[in-house]
Amino acid sequence: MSIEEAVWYVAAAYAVVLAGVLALLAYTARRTQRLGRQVRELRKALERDE
Amino acid sequence: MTADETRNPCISAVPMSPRERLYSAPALFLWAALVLVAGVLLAFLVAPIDASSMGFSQKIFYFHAPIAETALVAFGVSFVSAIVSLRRGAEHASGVGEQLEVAAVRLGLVFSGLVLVTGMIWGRAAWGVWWAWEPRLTTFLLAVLVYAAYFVVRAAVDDEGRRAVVGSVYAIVAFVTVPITFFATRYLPEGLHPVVITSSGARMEGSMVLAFVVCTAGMLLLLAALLRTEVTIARAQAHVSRVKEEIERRQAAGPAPDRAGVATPGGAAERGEPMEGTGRSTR
Repeated sequence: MSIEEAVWYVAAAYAVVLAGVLALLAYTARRTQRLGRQVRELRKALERDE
Repeated sequence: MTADETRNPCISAVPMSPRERLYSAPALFLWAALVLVAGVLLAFLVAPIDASSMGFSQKIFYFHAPIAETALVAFGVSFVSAIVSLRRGAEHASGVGEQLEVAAVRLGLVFSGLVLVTGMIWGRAAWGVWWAWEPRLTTFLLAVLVYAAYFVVRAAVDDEGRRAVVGSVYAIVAFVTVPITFFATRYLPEGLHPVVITSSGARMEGSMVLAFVVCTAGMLLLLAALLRTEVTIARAQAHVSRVKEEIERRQAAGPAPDRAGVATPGGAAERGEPMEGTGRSTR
């Protein structure tokens, strides 16, 4: 296999790993953000209660 | 609310000790990023190009194999968590054990997906085919399918306590596929998949082993960071849900003078009433 061809395979594999890890981080960040929103809403509800 | 729960950074702003900060999720993410960058640099700048027919495409190995090992470690974590969760019984559903078990299976599946895709690219470069029904690939695919069914099994059970028990039992049984996958290439030698790390040592040069070890450490740190984050989110989510239910319950019952889940003067705690919906072991 030529080096040019091999570079494409390696680049594709590393791109897949990077995309997967970034997707995981984005999903985790989104969940954290959603949780933060819920906590803020809860805090408001508690303040209203008081 | 227990003292442990007030340390939840999503709910409370109680500062962490320096030691806690060192093992916090952001610190673990930072460590993982640093180690992975070092791994990439070692793989491309220090480790030589493979002398075999693989040539430059062998560089895929430095991430493919560590991700595979990390996926198997994640399934191992789910196995241990399942045992811990099961020992505590159904009344401890939604506990840390169960949350860790679910998070480990989920992350194990994500890492397994990456292994399969990078493995297919590797296979195309090394063997000229995207997929081969050889022992390692087949057993790994089988393990992934078995673990994917974990969520189907859990979703089929409505009762939370029973779901936790069924999920834990399934996670323990599913772990049988992990050693089968690991030893498939070692005891079934007719496969295409190479065995690089053997009981007699690594079949690589020292700098290649170093790059591999650093990449593996980085991936394991990433897994630890993600697991820690997942469990923190799950715990905070469960706590928020309980407090929400408590507020709704009190609002439905009439005027609610005290803060739900927090012992305030004149509140339920002072009156000696149980603080429902705030205990750690509730479902």
